[in-house]
Amino acid sequence: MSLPARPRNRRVLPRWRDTRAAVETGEMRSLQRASADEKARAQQAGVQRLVTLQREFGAKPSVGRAAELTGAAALMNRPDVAEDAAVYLLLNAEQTTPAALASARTLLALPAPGEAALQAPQGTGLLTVQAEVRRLRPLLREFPHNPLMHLDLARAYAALGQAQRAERHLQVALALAPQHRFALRTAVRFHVHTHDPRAAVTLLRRSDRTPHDPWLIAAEISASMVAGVAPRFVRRARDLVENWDLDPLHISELAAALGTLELKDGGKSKRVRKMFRQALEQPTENAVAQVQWVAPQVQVPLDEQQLKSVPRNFEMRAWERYSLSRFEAARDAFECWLQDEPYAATPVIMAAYLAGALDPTPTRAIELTRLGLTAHPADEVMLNNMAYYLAIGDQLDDAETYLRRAQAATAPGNVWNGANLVATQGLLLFRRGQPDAGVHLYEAAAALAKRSALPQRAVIAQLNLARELIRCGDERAPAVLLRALEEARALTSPDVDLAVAHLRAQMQRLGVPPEVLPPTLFR
Amino acid sequence: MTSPPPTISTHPALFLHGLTLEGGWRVTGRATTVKGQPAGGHQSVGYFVERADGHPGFLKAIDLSGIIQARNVMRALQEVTEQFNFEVSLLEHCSDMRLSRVVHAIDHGEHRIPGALIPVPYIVFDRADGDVRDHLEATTVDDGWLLRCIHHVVVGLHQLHTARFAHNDVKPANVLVFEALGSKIGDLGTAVDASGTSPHGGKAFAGSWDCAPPEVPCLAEQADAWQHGRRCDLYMLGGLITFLFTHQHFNTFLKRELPEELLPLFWGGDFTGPFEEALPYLLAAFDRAAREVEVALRPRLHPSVAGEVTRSIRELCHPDPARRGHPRNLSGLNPLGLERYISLYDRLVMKAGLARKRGSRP
Ligand SMILES: Nc1ncnc2c1ncn2[C@@H]1O[C@H](COP(=O)(O)OP(=O)(O)OP(=O)(O)O)[C@@H](O)[C@H]1O
Ligand SMILES: [Mg+2]
Repeated sequence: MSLPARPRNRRVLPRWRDTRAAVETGEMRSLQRASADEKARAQQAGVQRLVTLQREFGAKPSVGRAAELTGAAALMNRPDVAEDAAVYLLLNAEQTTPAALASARTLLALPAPGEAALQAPQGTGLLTVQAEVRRLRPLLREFPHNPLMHLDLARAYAALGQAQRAERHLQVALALAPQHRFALRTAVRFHVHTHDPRAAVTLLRRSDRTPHDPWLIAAEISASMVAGVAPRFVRRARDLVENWDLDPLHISELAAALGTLELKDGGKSKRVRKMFRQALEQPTENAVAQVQWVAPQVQVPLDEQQLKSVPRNFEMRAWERYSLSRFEAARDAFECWLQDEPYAATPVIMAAYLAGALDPTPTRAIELTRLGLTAHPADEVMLNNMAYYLAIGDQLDDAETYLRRAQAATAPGNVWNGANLVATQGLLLFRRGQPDAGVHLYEAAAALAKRSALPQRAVIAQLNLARELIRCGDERAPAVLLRALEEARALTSPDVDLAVAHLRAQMQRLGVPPEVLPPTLFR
Repeated sequence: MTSPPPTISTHPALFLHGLTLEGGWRVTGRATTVKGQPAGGHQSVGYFVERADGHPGFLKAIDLSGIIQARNVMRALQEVTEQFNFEVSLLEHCSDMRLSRVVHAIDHGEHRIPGALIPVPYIVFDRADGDVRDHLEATTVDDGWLLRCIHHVVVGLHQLHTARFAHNDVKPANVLVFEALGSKIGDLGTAVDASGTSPHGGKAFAGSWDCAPPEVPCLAEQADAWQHGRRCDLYMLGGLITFLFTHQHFNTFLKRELPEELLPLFWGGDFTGPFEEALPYLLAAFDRAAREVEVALRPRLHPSVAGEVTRSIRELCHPDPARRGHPRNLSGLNPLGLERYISLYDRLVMKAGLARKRGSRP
């Protein structure tokens, strides 16, 4: 199996999340800030109203008055003023309604607002996405004018590889909410997903809102970079970033996009760094991931304390944990990222890759890859990996089919995947009971990888070869294993660490006593 | 700073109990608490009164004593005068037009207490047997009664709209219950007229913000005060219907479904718009809220009635002001018309009655 190469050209493209998750990130926040005056006025009106309701309830208690006060207090987040009224409702439970009683109970428990914790990742798979479609379709028949529901359904269709349906619902959403930031940004992500970044650029340039909204300008810059055209609002963007005096969150992605643009155009590193530093003032997770991505070229320190409060910071966390070889934790983060973007290729490949290496059976890896292939049916890495997982699960004929599709999808010059394909072929031969041919292909794969300056891939091929030899009790096993571990030691790479960990676990499952294995396997 | 306690000479409006006013009204008791601004503005307070012939009334007295502390006394005086005169003339207009479902004023005037510095302007109404909040105990009212009450409110609102006024403060406290006559709409103090010249025509929403549609706390700009006023009425009507059956305003349901980030200031958040930005989320929250309302209505109402009530709430409480109202009206000349709701609730009263009869048959 193989990893995706980490994206060579990461751009600060808008995320396309579930609309319920998207509000968490601040993307929906308004650019205007309430003036102190407005706040005071709203508060004063509220206080006066609550005082009146309190007095009216006190003067002549009844469930109607108690319920009115309880409701208004809940609305204005002032549970303290309605405690008596809530108690009154509970004492007169038979005179009121379950809805009012539930409110009264909530109110008396004084819940802290905004306590919504991050949900543990639920499995994302084809079935979950299909279930989402089944959930949304009847709802939309009932509420055809809900743009958010159209966006969510479009997203589910995109994850299922049904780009046309996705686009149709996207169009409806845009017709219902043409100037809506999130709808526009979603459309941008969609067009890039379907390899039509120019459509994204056109859409943004046509919207009156774009020049005034840093979130949209950020998307315009990034989509233009993907499309290979010159971004239109760069001067305006610099201006905004320079003179921004509102919530810095709003320009986080814009600054990150500008920094990326300047970096690509060979801008002065001081300026580039300044941009990224600004992106981090109050960052979105997308900006954080971008800073992490540029780190080899531009060093901008990430503040761990600050990162803790960045919502949905999955991509950055996933790669961070992976690079530290914390694989179980990395897997959780990739799964979270996948839940955020079920149509995206990288998280699904990585989540499956980790599942394949860590789980005793390839079931989850196959399930995830099936999801990935639904959205990206010609992705050569996924096709190859699918063949690999199926072979590991001894579904050899299916594996063969995928392998052939992978071969057809791989461009001739793609050595990265080329070497992997040869190795997978070797695996398949092993499982078909032809170890000699298997050895031959694995060694060819390792040699090809080495020639192409991919030493990790070469070592991984050898480690997998060792595993197959041990599995079938072949006497060549010890020598191959020792050599592979020797070479592995010389490399510091999480990919190799993971392969070693996988091998270790595999040996344990096969019941190979640790004493017969080389101690280097356990370091 | 503690101000001296109010006395009959400083705050005469608060001490009318036991007096007989110039118009011949004997004040038999205090009916309501004092509300309004104690300093820098005016307050109002309600009394039970009786005419010489025994006719019972409800007197709303205006307490002007706090007004001299206003930052701009002349402006404040002018404002309260305009509001009072507008309410009186509107009430007279309603009586002239015989609006049967709007509470009638039977007198108004100014009372002077010897030795007091300021007069007490007042309005006397036909006395109701409390407002609807005093009639919601689940074991004492049935759905037939509530549906009839709604029917009366819709008729009253329709009468007002036809007279080219929007009420702007439709809420439980302003639905007055007359044991013999059913319910009527009260409190025209915040109404706006079609020409936009009424005291509350131009300003920020004058009614109770907690019952107002979301565009009010979201501070959406309003081009047309008359249209805005009627749209607010429709929403508040839907909120009232929700409240009568569930004991929770529609806004309480709606807020629960809205993400923190999009809560306007008045709803305990700090979202300040633009309204259009919040609207898609409001729509999504609205769908969920309407479902919750329907769930809450189910055990209360006969299924066939619950469905239609929910539908009307959905139409009236639509968060998009442009799509508020009966779907069959929306594309027509009178998108905010209430006639269809009058006949709907008239029919639902009967339907509920029949369902009850059928249900109780052995
Ligand atoms: N005609 C009436 N008969 C009996 N009670 C009444 C009558 N009119 C009003 N009330 C009672 O007095 C309360 C306040 O009346 P009204 O709404 O007219 O005054 P307000 O000062 O404008 O109050 P708010 O601004 O809170 O609506 C009502 O909620 C109701 O309980
Ligand atoms: Mg009132």
